[in-house]
Amino acid sequence: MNSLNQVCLRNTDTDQSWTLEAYESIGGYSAWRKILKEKTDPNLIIEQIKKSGLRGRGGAGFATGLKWSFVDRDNPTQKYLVCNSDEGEPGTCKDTLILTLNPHQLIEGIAICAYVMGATKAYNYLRGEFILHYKRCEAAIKEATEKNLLGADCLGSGVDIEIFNVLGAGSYIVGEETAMLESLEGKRGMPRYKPPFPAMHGLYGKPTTINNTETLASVPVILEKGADWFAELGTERSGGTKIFCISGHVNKPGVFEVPLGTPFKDLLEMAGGIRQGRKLKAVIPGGTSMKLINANDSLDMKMDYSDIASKGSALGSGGVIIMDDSTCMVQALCHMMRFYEEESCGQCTPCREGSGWVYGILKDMLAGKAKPGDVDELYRVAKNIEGRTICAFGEAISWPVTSFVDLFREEFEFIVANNGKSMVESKLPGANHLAFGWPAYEQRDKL
Amino acid sequence: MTKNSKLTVEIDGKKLEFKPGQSIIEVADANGIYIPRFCYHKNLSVVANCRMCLVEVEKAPKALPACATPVSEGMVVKTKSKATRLAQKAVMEFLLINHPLDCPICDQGGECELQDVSMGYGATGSNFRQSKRAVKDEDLGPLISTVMTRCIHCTRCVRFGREIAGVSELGACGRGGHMEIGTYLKDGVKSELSGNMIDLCPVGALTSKPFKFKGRSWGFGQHKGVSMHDCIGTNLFVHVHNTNIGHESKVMRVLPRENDLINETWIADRDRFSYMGLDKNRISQPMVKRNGTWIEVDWQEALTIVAQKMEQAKAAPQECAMIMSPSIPTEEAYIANQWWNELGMAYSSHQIKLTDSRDYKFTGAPVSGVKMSEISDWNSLVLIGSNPKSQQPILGWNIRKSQLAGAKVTHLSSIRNALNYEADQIISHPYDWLSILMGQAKKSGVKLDKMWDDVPVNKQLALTVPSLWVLGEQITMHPQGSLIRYLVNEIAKKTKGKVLTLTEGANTLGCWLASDSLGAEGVSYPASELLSQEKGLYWLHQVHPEQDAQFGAHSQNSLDKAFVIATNSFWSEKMKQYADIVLPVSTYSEMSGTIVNVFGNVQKFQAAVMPYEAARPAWKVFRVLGNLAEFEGFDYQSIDDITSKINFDFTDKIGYDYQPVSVNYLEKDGVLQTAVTHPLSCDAIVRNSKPLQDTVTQSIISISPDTLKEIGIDPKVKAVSALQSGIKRTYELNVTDDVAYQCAELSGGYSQFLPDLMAKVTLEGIYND
Repeated sequence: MNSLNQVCLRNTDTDQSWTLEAYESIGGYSAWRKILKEKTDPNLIIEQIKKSGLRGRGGAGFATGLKWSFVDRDNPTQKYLVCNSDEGEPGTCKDTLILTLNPHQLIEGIAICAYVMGATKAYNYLRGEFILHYKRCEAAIKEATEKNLLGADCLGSGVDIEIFNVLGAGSYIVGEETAMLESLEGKRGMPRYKPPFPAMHGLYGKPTTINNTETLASVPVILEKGADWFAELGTERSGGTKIFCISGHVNKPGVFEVPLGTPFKDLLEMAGGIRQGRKLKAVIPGGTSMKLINANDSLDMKMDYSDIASKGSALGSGGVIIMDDSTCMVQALCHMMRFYEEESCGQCTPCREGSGWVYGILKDMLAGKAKPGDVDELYRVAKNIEGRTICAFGEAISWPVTSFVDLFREEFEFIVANNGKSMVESKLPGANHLAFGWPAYEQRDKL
Repeated sequence: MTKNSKLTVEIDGKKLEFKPGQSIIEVADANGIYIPRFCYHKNLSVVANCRMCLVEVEKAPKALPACATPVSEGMVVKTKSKATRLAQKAVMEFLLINHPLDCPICDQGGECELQDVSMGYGATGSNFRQSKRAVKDEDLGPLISTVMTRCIHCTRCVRFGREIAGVSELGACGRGGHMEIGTYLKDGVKSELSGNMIDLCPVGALTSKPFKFKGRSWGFGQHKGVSMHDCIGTNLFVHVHNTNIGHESKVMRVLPRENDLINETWIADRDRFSYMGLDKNRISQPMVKRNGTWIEVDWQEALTIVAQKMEQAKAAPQECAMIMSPSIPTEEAYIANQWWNELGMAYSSHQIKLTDSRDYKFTGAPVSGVKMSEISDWNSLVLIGSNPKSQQPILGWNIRKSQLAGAKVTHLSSIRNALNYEADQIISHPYDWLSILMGQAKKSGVKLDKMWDDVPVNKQLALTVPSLWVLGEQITMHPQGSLIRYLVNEIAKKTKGKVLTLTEGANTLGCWLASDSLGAEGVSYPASELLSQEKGLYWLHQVHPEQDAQFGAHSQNSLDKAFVIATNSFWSEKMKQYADIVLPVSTYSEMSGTIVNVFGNVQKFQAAVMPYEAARPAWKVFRVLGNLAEFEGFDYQSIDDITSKINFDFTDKIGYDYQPVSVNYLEKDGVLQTAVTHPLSCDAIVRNSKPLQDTVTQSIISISPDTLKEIGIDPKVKAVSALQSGIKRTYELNVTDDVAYQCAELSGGYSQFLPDLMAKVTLEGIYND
């Protein structure tokens, strides 16, 4: 399958792919060297990125070229670039591969972006658990700095770029861009209210651009091979490739970098199809914060921004979670809500109080303590959170709940009416505990 | 857009003008449109976390927080629409699910923002069936009581600490529903402004500990007060029980009164909790000492005895001295001086701590022409012998504001002060300050008389920009005070600077104006001089010289030998020994009056409660004494009659035009005790407030290693004994480089204080355990 792994994961099968030598052997740093030599007009680079159709790969899918044009390059104040490597969206494991296997391409992307912004300092904020990744990135920066690809006066061009790796402290919400800035400043990781936007008032109050790891790692390839080449990989409104992380009830879970617009069916096939010959029940296409899509809608779905949006969900981070017909949707949702209850930063009232309330109702349902009307209550509480918080975490709680209930309301009603007995379990005895290992974390909660 | 065109926004159908940068809530507040809020406070940063102020804005996809959304031209805001109500009710429901329903036993009840807003936006019942969150309480010290289960995480207290008090004592730990506000260090809250967190807390999580379970806000009457504990004149509200519903007349609590010119919405803990001392140790009846025992007499008898005594004393006016507190209302100072003058007495003083008074009668009113609001405009501030953070906390906060706005602050002091702003601190012996100022004077090009040629020049201070010079308590008590004031004024004149001399007590300027209105040119003899002269009769008005004067031991010695008549509200232990007649007078909560702060703000305050037992307002006592002596002009019907006699217009009396005639040289001999009066020992009310005294930590003496070596004390000893004027006390030893050579600084409770301030002390190490 030659369409696989062409951009961010292009060198993953080379030996010691994370070294400078390996990266340069496939043409790495050629775009950066060219920019340094020719002093390319940053506006031309932005044009290229716009033309390539590259969109933010972190989840929101904002057009990268447009974002880059927000920072006033001529503003004489210190500007910053922040690379968001705090990959924490449940079901997502794409940046981890870039950081461990292809760190130089990311660093080249950071350098190019920083050059475009006129930023002399860039931070690569890694998730707290990414110890190996941190070491690889540190080593890569050291190698690149030794070759003067980074540092002061890069290759005699007069361009200064310093990159720092920063290891987080284990909070999901720091993946939100303004919470990341707070964390970088040494404060509690809590999102800021926007406006002001980071492009005006970001890190330490200075103009700041924040991009996802995959977005930045795509940049050198775009400049090497041309914007047209990249755009043509994908569909009309979704240029290039995207890394999808297939998890859940498939035979061969894995990470695949495929052109945007690849049919979901093909992707499912790459992952070896549904396990044990079972039937597909539902899909979360872009990490657990996105809405659920049922089996019927998913089968003709193309994996690009617009087609998934037309199904009522979003491409998100590319964490595709496959659920087969043995999945109890109440349990699945409860499992997800436990995560959100744990990770709410506690700043805004609806999210702080609502996350625990939603989780509590779901636990009651599973424990057989729910009362008639609790499904409506669950739905109402989730709806009340949506749109009323500082950051998108409110939606990340609300959307899964409302979409799960919208699509599988009968399962929720059944479990309430039957004292905690799952509808799936009653159809498929024993299936209940296969799904997400509920008993195990129920015990942990008690600890 | 042209300059003159007005920007308008539509809120609830009304077209309203706004200034660029204003938020929706600011425009709404300015126009009387109420939007509910918890986290928003006009004097704190905006965090938009409570979400209560969500409002519908046309063309916005979702409801926006009114506190954090800037208004723009043509914006249409609907604060009463269905979408707004839905959003606000949803937030209210979330806020209430974990909030305990303990309003009946909550001190905030009746003045609780959550209670109020929930009346309008809350549901009648709750669908929440899980168990409510419970949070462990933390002991924040003697002033703030906590019930953290009630906390709604608005973070006003956290922001107050970070932004206003300048010390992050409270913060948030834990995430999501497990988030808790606390100190983490479990070390209490120590800021001198901490009580403001009680006002800021919109619920009953932080309440006043001394006021705990004492009363309900709806049962109180409210009177305007002004702080009597420093020269800033912080504005207060004094809350008292409504006596018409059968309560005793008593001050229940003190809260800030907003005044943007002085204290905005903040007051110091000292101003807030001093009321707890109002009823302690009071003199309840006029008393006369006969054969060494105190006998209660009625007012008539007491006044007759006093009148007779004064009739005799008139024969030797040189032998009589009246010492007044500088913290009495102007009217009291006026009538007391009027009566004293009529008696033909020469010596009266409202300057308890002033030491070097050579310049005093040559200069104008003790006011600098500096306004509080202008402090943040200065780019450079120099504080000499002053630590407003502890002595005048509201001024300290203004200096912090100024520093945050970019001003450079320089401290010249004998110890490195723990500050809540960045400052250059020059640590040197107070006797070297004249030399340091000489250096600055030379640099600024000040022309000086020949007699200054012999003063050594020290170039540690070398400012080049116009500065505001703040002279503090250590200068008041400095033996070269007049020379320092002269030099600083000359430097300021030469460099376009200004001088702010912090005065004693609350009303030094008022007392000066009272004397001036009587034609005495505002002159008062420094009390330290009068108290050292061993007069035959001392009249003490609202002072306890053994604690209030600079040389306590000295003063007490004179008082012990003399006949002492005291008009005072409070007893002190020593007063029982030295006084011969005491007349109980009202303290500030029991009378009305006018005081003038160091910035020249003339402020009136009202009596809040009835006088304590037989105590009477002092002006009435002096009026009767005047009547008994059949003096003219003592027929005042009310305090307003006295007020009208006083000329409060001092604009033509500002100015410093003293020329020193000689320079006195000071020898650094042994160790100088450099501490000034402890801020919580500043007057009898504060000294009697138990909650405030409970915040005072252990008595410590700080000395540098060099000094210890010089006086031969092993730096490893745990304690030292300090001897002054025959009084010996023991202190824990703190060896630090932050104290100037040959200086020792005390910190600790007032009862452990040495009798003399800014004076020599003899130290000895205590070697046995």
